Amino acid sequence: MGNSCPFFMYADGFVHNELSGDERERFGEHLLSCPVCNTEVQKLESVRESLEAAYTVRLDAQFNYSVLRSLREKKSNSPIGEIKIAVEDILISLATLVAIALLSIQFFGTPRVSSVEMVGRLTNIERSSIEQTSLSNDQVLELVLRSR
Amino acid sequence: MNRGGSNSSIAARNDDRRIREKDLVDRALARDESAYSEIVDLYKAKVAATVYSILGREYVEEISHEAFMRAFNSIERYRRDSSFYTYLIRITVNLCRDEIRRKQIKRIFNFTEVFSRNNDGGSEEQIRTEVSVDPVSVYDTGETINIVREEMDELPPILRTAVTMREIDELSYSEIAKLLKISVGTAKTRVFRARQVLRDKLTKRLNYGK
Repeated sequence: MGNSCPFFMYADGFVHNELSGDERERFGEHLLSCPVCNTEVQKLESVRESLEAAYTVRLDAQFNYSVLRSLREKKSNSPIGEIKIAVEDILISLATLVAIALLSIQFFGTPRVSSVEMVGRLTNIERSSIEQTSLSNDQVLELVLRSR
Repeated sequence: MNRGGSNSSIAARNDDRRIREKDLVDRALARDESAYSEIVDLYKAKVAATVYSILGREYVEEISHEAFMRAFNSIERYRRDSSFYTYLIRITVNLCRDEIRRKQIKRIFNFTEVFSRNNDGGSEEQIRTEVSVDPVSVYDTGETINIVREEMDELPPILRTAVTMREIDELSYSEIAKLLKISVGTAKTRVFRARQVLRDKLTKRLNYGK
């Protein structure tokens, strides 16, 4: 890697802007009088420029969109995303159960009088009439309610 | 002689990039989605050029996409001991190296296939053409660029990767050494060797660098 000029090793750092301000200034002055380093700097710059030109690729806005979309999809499929979905499902199920329970209480929880209790409230005349028939309590109750 | 003009502009560009990068990474960590898009805008050309140089044009979209995805998905693990750009390039280069390994395995199988065909009457020239990956893509714009790409493709992957990181990604030797897990001296040797081979071959074909 060496060369006859003692400053030759600075050429690479010069081209890649890695020298300190002082080093840069001194090497810049040196280049004016050193054909060896001057040629080296030109060669290094040629390689860099050729490679930059050869591998320039333009990725349009569609590429950005594609990355962001994949990122969103990934997040929704992540374990945290799955946990969130599971919690939501559980909450929805619980809410449904509570709603069903409330409706059930509303519908079935109303105090009802059984036919036997109703028969207990009949007048003595009504009760004696029932006892003389072979009808069931429900049938008698229906007849009584119709007559009332 | 206007030595240093283009280098100063590179330095200024890199400084701007670093300042902007810090802000973008902070916002990305705070889950600001627009920051992700801005990071992609800032670095997609470099990432794409790296993939193109090391692997080939046909891999650019897929590998670049994967590199950004991996960088963003692990952004919370990103330690600020290096720039986010270096972190992203490391992921890109690792993906390229994985792909090279896969390609090498594929080539072995292709070679076996072609060799067996050759026994049925195929020529040596056919073998050489079919086994090698076509370095010229449909996106080429000039003969010189084609020749540069062809000669880069001829370089061994370790030299091609090193010179890409130095000349296209603009990384320092210590960064290259760290990312490739080699010594700084080895990084310098690989870059020097790659440049030398490129120069020699391009000089022969293009009267280049004289």
